[in-house]
Amino acid sequence: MNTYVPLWVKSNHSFLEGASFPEELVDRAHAFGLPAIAITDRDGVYGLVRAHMRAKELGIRLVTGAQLTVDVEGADHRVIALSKTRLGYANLCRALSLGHSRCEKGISLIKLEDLREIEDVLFLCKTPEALRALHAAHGPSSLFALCVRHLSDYERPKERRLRGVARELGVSSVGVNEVLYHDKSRRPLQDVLSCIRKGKVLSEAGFVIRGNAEHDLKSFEEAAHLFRDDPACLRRTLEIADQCAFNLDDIRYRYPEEHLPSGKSEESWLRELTFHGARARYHGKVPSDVRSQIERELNIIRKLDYGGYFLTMHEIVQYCRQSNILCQGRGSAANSVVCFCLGITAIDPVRMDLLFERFLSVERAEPPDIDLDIEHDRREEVIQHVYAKYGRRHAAMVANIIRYRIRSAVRDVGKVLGLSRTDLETATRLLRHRDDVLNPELLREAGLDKDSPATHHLWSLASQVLEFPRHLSIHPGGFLLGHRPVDEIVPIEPATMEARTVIQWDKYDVDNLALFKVDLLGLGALTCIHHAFDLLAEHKGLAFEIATVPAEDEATYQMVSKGDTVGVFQIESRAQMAMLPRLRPRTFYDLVIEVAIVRPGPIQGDMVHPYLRRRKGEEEVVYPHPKLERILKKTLGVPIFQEQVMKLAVEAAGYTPGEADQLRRDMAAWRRSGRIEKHRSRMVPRMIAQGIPEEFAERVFSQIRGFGEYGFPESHAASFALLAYVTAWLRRHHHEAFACAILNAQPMGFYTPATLVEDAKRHGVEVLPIDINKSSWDCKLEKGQSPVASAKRSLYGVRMGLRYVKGLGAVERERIEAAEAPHPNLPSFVRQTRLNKKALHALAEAGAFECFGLNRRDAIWQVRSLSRFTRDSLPLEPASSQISFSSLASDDKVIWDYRTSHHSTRGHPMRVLRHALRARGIPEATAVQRRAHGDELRYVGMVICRQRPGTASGVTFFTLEDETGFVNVVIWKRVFDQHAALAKTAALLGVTGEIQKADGVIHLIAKSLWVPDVALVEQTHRSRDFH
Amino acid sequence: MKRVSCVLLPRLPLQIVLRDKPHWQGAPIAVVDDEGPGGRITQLNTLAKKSRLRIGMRQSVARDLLPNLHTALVSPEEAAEVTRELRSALQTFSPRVEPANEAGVFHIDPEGLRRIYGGYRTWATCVHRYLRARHWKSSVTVGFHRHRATAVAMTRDGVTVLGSADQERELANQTPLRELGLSGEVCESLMALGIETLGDFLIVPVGELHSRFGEEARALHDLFAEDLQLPIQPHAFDEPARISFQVDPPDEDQTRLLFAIKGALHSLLHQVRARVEAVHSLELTLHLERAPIHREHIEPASPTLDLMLILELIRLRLGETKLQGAVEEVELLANTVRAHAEQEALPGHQPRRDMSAAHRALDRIRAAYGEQSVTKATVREAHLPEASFRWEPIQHARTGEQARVPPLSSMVRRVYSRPKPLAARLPMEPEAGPSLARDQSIEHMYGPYRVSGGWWKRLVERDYYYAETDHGDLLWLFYDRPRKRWFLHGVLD
Repeated sequence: MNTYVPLWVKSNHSFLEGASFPEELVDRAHAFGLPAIAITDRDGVYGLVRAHMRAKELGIRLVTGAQLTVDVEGADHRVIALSKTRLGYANLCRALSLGHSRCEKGISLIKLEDLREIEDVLFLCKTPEALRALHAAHGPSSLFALCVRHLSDYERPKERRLRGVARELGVSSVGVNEVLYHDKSRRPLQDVLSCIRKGKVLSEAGFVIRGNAEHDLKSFEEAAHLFRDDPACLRRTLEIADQCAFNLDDIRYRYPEEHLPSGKSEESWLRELTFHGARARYHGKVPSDVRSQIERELNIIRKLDYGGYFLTMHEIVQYCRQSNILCQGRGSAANSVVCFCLGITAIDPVRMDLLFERFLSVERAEPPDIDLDIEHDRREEVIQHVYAKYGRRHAAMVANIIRYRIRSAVRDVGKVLGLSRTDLETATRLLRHRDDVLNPELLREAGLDKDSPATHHLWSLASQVLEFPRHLSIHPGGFLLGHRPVDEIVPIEPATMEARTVIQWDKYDVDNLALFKVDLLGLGALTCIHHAFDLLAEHKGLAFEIATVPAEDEATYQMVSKGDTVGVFQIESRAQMAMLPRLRPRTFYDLVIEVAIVRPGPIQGDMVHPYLRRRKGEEEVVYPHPKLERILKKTLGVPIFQEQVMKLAVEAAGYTPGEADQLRRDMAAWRRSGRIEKHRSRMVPRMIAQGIPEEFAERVFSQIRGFGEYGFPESHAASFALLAYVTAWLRRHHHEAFACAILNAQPMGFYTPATLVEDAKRHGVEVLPIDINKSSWDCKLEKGQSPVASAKRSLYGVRMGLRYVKGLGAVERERIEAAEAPHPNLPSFVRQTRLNKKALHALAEAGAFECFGLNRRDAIWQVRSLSRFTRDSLPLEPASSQISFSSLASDDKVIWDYRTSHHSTRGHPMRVLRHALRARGIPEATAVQRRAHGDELRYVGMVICRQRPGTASGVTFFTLEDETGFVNVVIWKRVFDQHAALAKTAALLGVTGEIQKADGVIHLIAKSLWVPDVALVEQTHRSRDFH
Repeated sequence: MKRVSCVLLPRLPLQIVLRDKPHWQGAPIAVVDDEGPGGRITQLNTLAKKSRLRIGMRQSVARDLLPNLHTALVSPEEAAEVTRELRSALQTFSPRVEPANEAGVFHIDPEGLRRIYGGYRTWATCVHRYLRARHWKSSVTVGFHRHRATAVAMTRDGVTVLGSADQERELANQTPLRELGLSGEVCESLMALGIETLGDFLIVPVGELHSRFGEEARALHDLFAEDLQLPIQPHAFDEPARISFQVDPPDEDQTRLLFAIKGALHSLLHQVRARVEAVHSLELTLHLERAPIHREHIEPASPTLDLMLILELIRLRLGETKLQGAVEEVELLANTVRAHAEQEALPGHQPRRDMSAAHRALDRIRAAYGEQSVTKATVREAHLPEASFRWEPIQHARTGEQARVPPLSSMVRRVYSRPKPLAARLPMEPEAGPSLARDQSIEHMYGPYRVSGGWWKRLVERDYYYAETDHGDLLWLFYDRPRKRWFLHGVLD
């Protein structure tokens, strides 16, 4: 038979070694007419799923295996292991897991005893030592001597020795080359990858790189020529491939069974829990439509045998409840009434008219995908609970494969080529993260000689290496759980993070094999809500849960409609704030739309303005086709949610459910695959043929492309809208508790603590400074001190916590909390806490010792002396110095506050400048809001946020703040480029521009930027920038 | 009252960068402490500062803000070299020059030079102009206290001649504290207390400062104390030992020349011995009649003061040299190192081999045949045969090394330093092999063994073969694929 099977093939998922994607290798094998190809990545099965999917598509067989590093008498030997059966594959994964478990991240070393009991695996040994060692354990039947011929002169003598030992042991020989790339043209890239891996430059690479370009995937004719003296050893590859019948589709995955109460089946227990939850949700009376929906869903869950998964999610949610951890399901799970009744999600899908099939369908038979948001500072507790409950072999986290992006590609490849690090830095800085094509012109701009061979190589190789895997990282929260040990499906490795283990596949691989993934994600908003509820219970005696927060509160919607949403989850961004006065949410569903509409999908699809016009009655609600009315009615004929677009594809473009599902997958993976474009030629003509206007069809397609970047399904938007509503309600009715909670939940959200503090103050909340005798580590509520009576002012003020003093950490916290408070004087505090000089200095500088009657400078002078005696057991000697320093001026205090704690309770830094600014005719933010459309003015404010969304064609949005409020500035690309350094760095910025007013939204359109000629210490402020 | 002067070259590393790269003038420039993205900015020119870059910023951040920023690293060696140059230059204005610990600061004793230059101002102006003519920006202050004068120089450009110690104190006290080289933390803490100038600093009792801000603050305080000023420690002129003599009438007879050299060498070694040094190498310069200068470098195996040994090496070297004319003048320059006394080996512990004899022998070979005549092969990791080893000159023979015998082959491959081209045999297929000399033909070829690489520079792609000839010779050949030619690279025996 004129064919063979390459049995030692490493894809680029053998990190920094293989130089071809798994798909490229499979494609080439198929093009050569080979019946099968093995993928044997180094120490793992990293590229197996991608190869499997392509092999399935092309109808070529995939032999599964791995290149093992085996310890034989203290030396590392490379052995190829190929799995014959499901059992063999499980054994292989188990051995790899063991190998990784005893090494540091990214390395595996398998001991001979790990392989001794292994069955159904064939071993191909390249060295006589490995052959002898494995022969002793396995005998000759599952063993082959691996003869390689890469045309290197040292190979022949080695092969002679190997064949001699094989003859002696009765082991057959097989002729196979090590394949590292599908085509010889990838040889330079393979050299570069090898150098990156070993940290070498090419000119000094030596034996780090291969000696020739013979590691390509060869056709039968080429392989036959190499082994022309022993064709039988090449034919043996076919026999081996025939023995390796295992296919990844043979993995019969079963979700772990929950521990069921005696006498209960999985199905009956799920039913019982669901109806129990339903009665609680609907106050004892389950409406008939809900009941029938529950029955329908339970029926589908039973048919698909997914009950265990729901019970697991219920168990995790119960654990969170019992541990007082706030959690909430999001994503498509919110379409399920069962999830709602089990407490996994908080949105009633029946009332919201959400489509269960979006979540689960018998036709699709895909595993459900439930994402559970958990308070971000307690997520680790839940993760460790999952490990503890299921065991380390039954639960492991999903990997995240870090791939080469344009900057890392230029940096790594350039380093290997020996280019100047300075030039490379310049080049990488000129590139943007989002760039996915390397423009050679940029390299010239960076000072690299465009015509030099090194620059040419850099451009060519950096372009080739894009999207190549670089190393394995860990998914933020994805778990793979299994009824059987997970290490029988895929090897498990230790992760860099302590107490975490990770599998060798990423979420796309897990999805492709239809394995169940549990996503446990951290969410700061839940932490904030939890803190706020606790504060309300403690100080006001009010008990709230997310579900019991008063619904549809008019005052809350009024506040939201004004765009007054600093700190409110999801609707606090600059773009959201600008949209809110236009959309004017009045109901919960309006909030759902608000959350979903300010996204690249609707924006790129140009759906935002038509929706707003129709909402205001300025445009008639029409449907492009009568049969689309059902789909688009809720959103006034404009598609806003992801599932609407998918339904459009089915209804208007005649997509089959399979095609629609493929569209969904391609949308999710567009950045990786670029497959979305193929839907254009399929979808647009079909829609036109249905009588839908071409312009609408094109817009729908643009929106699909936008959704690929980041689009929201309705259920997901609803889950987020609920949290947005709760945070908005808290902010409206209990601003002091909300402010205190969000300050304790930092880092999270859009704004710095300084902005949150200023916002609270503007809304009548008294914010009290850090005081060593009154502050705790966290911020807390205390009875207000201000004598000024005000209707707006709350009874409680927020006392800033010590967590905001720069330079204090866990050790300092522990010591301060252990000391007995209140402290009578500074020496007593120093003696009790034994804090080091740096920490004491930080507290003194932050004004925390003013309670001892010391101004900040005197306190600094004293602590620098007292800190020398912290280790003395006797009481500290009193400070001997008679030197006294002047107190700070009140303006300086504000500046010091910002420097030491990133905020000030004493005033806004802009207040210091107000007199000078007024003299120059520069208005404050509230005065800017009163100006008329078209007015030209000059404004000065502190930059608190810079944003340049990808959808804004280079426009940058700045939010400037002063002591009275915010001014939103729009900076066109031309103006930004003209003042780039100033725009990127200024903490205090002057803007000359024109007022633009529409629908109550005011923007200052910048014409020029300038440095204000008033003195201000710039160290006071940091902005949050999102590009 | 005794005068002292300070010459300050502000931001010397930045000035070095501009001296090396004058075309960067007019562009934003930053000096960084590391070339990588994490490298931090240590100095900035005005343009870069105006572009809102700051000292301490990471290079990557700075480049984000200012893509056209030029950055450079000034190594300590480079800075030290420039300091040496400047010190030598300033020694032309006063023999008593002391470089301070801070880069770009020199303390100079101007006493006694006033009369030559006609006053301190003229002297200082000459120094300033001299440096300016060489593109160095400087500030020259003539005062009474070296550190106060330095403090004044930090705040003033050009030339400053202070009239009295009180004026010097007054001006120095205005110097901002952050200019005085205190570490960031101490400086920031003092400034937080409102101590912003040297004057503020000096008011605080030194004991209180010491207890709170440590040794660094005390040391700075002490520098400005009235009675603790150290005298200038001038740097010695570091001229190498040299001697020269005229040969009159010009002569080319080597015996007579050697005899004359012996006398000069004796004096030279006397100079070297007086410095407690030994001769590391000797530069011999012969000025010839109507011919270019002839130079020789003589290097003994180890630093020595042995006249006969050096003379013998000169004899051997000149013996191999044909001079192009009669010698008019001889110049001998000794490069020296500090002399070390060697301990005599204990009885019974003498090495079996007399390595000093080996060294002497190698010295003589080098002296006779040139510096590159004694080499050893160093093995390197490379796939290309000629890149897999390199001949490197050696100075010393070493014992205890044994040649490693390759385990797999008992044959010796003799490699030609340049592969010899061979004619191709028709048809022009590589498999056909090359054509050898008329009386020799290839009976069997083993191969090919392919070596390829170097694509980033010049692609090499060779198919190597072992060829057995009808004479029984085993040749090592390759077919150069890009050039489509055969070469003989070696033979095996």
